[in-house]
Amino acid sequence: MAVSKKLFVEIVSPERELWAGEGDMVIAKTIDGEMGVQPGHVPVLALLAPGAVVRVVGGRENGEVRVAAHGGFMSVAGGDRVSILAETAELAEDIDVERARTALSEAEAGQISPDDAEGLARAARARSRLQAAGEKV
Amino acid sequence: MGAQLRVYRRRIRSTKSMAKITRAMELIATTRITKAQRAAEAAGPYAREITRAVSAVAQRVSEHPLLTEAENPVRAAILVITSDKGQAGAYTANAVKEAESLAALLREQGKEVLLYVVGRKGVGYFRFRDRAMEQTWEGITERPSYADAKAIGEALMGRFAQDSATEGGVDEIHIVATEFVSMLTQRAESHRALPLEVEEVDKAELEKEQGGPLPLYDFEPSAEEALDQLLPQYVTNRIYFALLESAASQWASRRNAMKAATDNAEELVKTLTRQANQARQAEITNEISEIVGGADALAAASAGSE
Repeated sequence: MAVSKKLFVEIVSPERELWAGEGDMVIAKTIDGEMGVQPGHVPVLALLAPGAVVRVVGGRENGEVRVAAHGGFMSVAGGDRVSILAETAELAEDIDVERARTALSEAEAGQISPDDAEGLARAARARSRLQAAGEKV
Repeated sequence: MGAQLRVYRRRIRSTKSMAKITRAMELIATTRITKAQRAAEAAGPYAREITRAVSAVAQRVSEHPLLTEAENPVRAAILVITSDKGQAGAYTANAVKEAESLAALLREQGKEVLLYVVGRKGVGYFRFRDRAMEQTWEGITERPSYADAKAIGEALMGRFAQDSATEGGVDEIHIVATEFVSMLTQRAESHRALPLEVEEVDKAELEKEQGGPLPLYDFEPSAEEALDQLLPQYVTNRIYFALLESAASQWASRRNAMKAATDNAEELVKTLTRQANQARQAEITNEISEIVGGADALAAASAGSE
């Protein structure tokens, strides 16, 4: 099978399709670490880390598409088809930085104990939203 | 004006204003159906992808608590999706009827039945009959969100994970939802959600779509962990889809009911107008004959005195 030069990327949340288009490379944080996918990649199904940021390099004329994804996975099929599914996902430009910042400081101020899964998840979500929006955390 | 005529006129007026209300409700429902359908369509890509991923993993691993059937099922849960508001024809009644027949069937098989109810009308139905409900959700049926589906899914899966013999967990979970067949037909249907039967995407169709045989996936970190995360998401997605479809059905059913109500009201106005006209005619005829009778009597009296 001829390897095409572009990836076809789909980013979907349960409620709608967030973004679909072509890109040169997809970089995502999986449970095992950062993973980059370029055209011709072997079929893979990878779980995204909690509060992951997914970047589609070359997804736009000038730069990349960034998405904060939580509780999802990435599947690569056919060498050039990448689907990213997340229970909650937000495009960088839709992220309300102020709100994410407040959410993060609230979550951190609440002194999260290591076994408070809900609190940890909330903090991770806020952090990934800020990262996707290009803010320093 | 005669009393009878006045009564007719009053009834015509009230029927007309009722028709106006039902017509407005019909129009609202019509726009909501399209919205609900659009929501269901927007959820399509995710449903397709997750089904595909689950089928891919399930080919590799088939051992998972959510996939294993209990040897001796003793308890089953039914999730019934009804509406929050009335005026939707037989929508809730059909869903409840389906749930009741399913419950009867399960009881026959010797299982204890637990009810989980979505929608105020369904809750009202079971409460009135003093039936125990495990958990209820209200106010989410018109525009269900994924978070709602997730809350329901977590409650059900938590119960499923418990041991049925010692902790009172359930061995099976069934969903009763209303399928949107067409604008005119909606059908209440039940299907089993857990233990899971993965609805596989048609292989031939998939292969055609992808232009080759199904890829053999690599899993990160492992197939087992992938399944661990995917299955609950898949179940939640099924519930979400059931909620969306039921919402569309609910609006379609409400629209039909309101259309019928408007038509009936208009028919009634026609009949009442005819009866009112008849009453008016009768009144006029009566008055004329009274005048003529009176004149006759006067003429007869004056002729007799001369």
